[in-house]
Amino acid sequence: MRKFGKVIAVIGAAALLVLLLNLLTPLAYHGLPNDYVRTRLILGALQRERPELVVLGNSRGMSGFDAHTLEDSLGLSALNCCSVSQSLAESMLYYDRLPASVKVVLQCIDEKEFTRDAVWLSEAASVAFPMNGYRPDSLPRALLGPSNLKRLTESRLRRNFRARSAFKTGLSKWLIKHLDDDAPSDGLYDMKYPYIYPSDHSKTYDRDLQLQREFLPTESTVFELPASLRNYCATLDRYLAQRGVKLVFVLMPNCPALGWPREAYALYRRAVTATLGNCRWIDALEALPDEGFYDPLHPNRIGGALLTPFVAAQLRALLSSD
Amino acid sequence: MIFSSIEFLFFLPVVFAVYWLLRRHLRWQNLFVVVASYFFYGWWDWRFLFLIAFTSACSFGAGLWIDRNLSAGRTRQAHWISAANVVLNLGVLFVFKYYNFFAQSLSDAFTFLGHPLDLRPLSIVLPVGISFYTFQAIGYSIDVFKGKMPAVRDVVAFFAYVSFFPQLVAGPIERASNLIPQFGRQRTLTSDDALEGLRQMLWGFFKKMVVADTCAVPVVHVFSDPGLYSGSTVLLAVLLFHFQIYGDFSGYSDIAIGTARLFGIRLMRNFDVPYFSRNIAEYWRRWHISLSNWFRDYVYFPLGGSRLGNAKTVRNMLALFLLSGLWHGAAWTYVIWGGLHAVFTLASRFTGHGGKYAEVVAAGRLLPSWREVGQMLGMTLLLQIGWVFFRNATLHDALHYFSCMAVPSILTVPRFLGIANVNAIFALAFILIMMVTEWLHRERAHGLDFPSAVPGWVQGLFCAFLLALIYWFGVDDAAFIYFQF
Repeated sequence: MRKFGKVIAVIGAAALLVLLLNLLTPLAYHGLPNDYVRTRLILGALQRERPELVVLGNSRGMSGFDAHTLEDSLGLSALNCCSVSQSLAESMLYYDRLPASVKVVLQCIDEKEFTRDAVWLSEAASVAFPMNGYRPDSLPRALLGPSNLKRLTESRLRRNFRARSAFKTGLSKWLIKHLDDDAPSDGLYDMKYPYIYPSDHSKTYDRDLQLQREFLPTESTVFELPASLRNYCATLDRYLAQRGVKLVFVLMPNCPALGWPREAYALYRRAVTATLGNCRWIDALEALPDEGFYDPLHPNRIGGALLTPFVAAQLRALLSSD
Repeated sequence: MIFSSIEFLFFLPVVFAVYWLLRRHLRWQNLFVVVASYFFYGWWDWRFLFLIAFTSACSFGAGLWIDRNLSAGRTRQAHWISAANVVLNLGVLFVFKYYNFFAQSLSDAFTFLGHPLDLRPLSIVLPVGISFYTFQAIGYSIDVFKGKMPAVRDVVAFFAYVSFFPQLVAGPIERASNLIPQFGRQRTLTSDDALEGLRQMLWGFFKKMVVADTCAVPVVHVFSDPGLYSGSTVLLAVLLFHFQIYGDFSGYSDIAIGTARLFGIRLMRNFDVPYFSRNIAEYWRRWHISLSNWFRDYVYFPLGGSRLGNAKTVRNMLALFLLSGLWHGAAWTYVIWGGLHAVFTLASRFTGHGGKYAEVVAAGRLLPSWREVGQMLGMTLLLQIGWVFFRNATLHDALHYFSCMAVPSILTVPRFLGIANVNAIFALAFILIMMVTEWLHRERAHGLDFPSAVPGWVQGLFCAFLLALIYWFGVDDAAFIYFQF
């Protein structure tokens, strides 16, 4: 064993270095900008501020809803708490952090939610929440399932290891900000209207359109919605209702250039109606023209300016009828 | 299992510990190598273990049979057995790798001639690394027939030779005469061996997980739709692919050689700073050495090499490179890639630019001469042409790629879109680290083979820096490009 002393010392030093890098990861995670810096901001804003309306959802919601316009239209103080790749399950993690001031949750959903498990939680989100001190309480424990719960409550070392790309993504964000003249505005920190694209159409619009067209919905793929999703939505609705909060789903706009046939729209709406049951929902599926999209998924400046008042008007009508 | 996966991080220490616990029981140790190797391969798809076992059993049996016939003076029979083993192994390779390609090509040709032919494609998966272990098995039976080595009588040692996990799926394609004797004797591990192995593995992981996988992002973006980018960006993407494939494949070889060294096994060198070559002939002596040597010894030399006049040299060279291209994949783009290299090699040979360089460039000097710089840049440019065919799926795509390059915007500053732009910047920084390190160590065994004059603390600091890069920037679980071959 003694003759391998040097080897053992080298392996030990390497292990120590990896441990050190592991322990330094949270510093990089919190100190450098990345998409999931927003998780901390949202959790902080929900703790600090007293909003009456909260918008939750993914990047489509980030670029689609201007909370200032919502405030002006509805007379409710509003926050846009959408973030990149925020799934329905990820939004739910914010539900139990909503302050008592909240009266309405506007929950954005799109066809992606209907093609995957109701409790799908991205890898990055499962790191971001515990990284920011989040501990799941009764609602997520009841709904998330064991594998997601395990990821949210794992050891610090394991979590830091999964978060190790923070350094790279932080540096990437910094470089993109300085090099890309068509990068989204620095809205990650904005809790009103986070994502505003400088140009109206992405340079890769046509190619993206082509790629998205490969995933056009068919009756057998998208519209056979799992029963679990229906129960899931109903549970969320009940949970918020008990707290005096109205949950309103918004079916996010579809880019007309994708060329969905009319029957697909009808089938999709029928499936959504069946899934959301008695929950309130706003149909914004055809609210935007082609010009309103930066790429086939995300509303641009024009789209945001059209979508927000459209949904505000629908929401006002819904709230007054309650 | 992939070297850059978490599973391998657990697999390696366990296998290492058990292997050395069995050091006094050679046969059990070899048997354990086979079991561990089959586990390593079966992690991907256990069904193809039968294929490796079949290949190993056939070649082992063929070796014994050839030996018996040779001993009895029946050379002709021995010749037929050796040929039958080659045909059998190539037949398996053909079915799994080439049948669909040839069926499609034949159908297209007959359809073009007005006689539609319906050859149905087979719905089968290409077994990972099949070309590597098949060539290793074929090489053995030919060597036995040619009397270069005796037939192996220890079936366990032979199975270990074919399946030895560090080099099973992407080489180096080992010679039986180098590897089998190592399984026949007691292995030892010294502290220096272990440190050297670990260093070479670290260098391989850096090249694969940091350099190659970072290059992959802009490369995938541009090659999937080159029309979106300026000519200069399209050109830069080929250059990034040039380094991606080198980092990926030579990184794999470094990890394999380093890992084998931890088990007391010496594998042959597979890459010897090929991008510092001064002409195409030197490049092929330094790139994928084990495959080049295989084709040289089992195809080029038996055909007569360059000893039978110019016409036959051209024929032999074309056969060598076209087969080498086809070995890489069942597509015409690989064949064209091989053909281009044949043309380059023949052109340099017949124009008097194919001089043999015995030593690495600028041996004994820190910097190359201007002439050498020009030669290396010329080589880099030449290789780019081949890579365009190699990386594109069809001939049409490759030609379209060239057309996207040949536009006035080739004179503008390259610019990728979105996240690929940043990845290209990272990639260029990592390439610089890789190439400067390899330049400084070009006369040594690998990038982290420091000269003794370098103080220990500098070596340690540099290794720590690489480890940190792997930790922060490394992409785990990304497959190696050469697995598909």
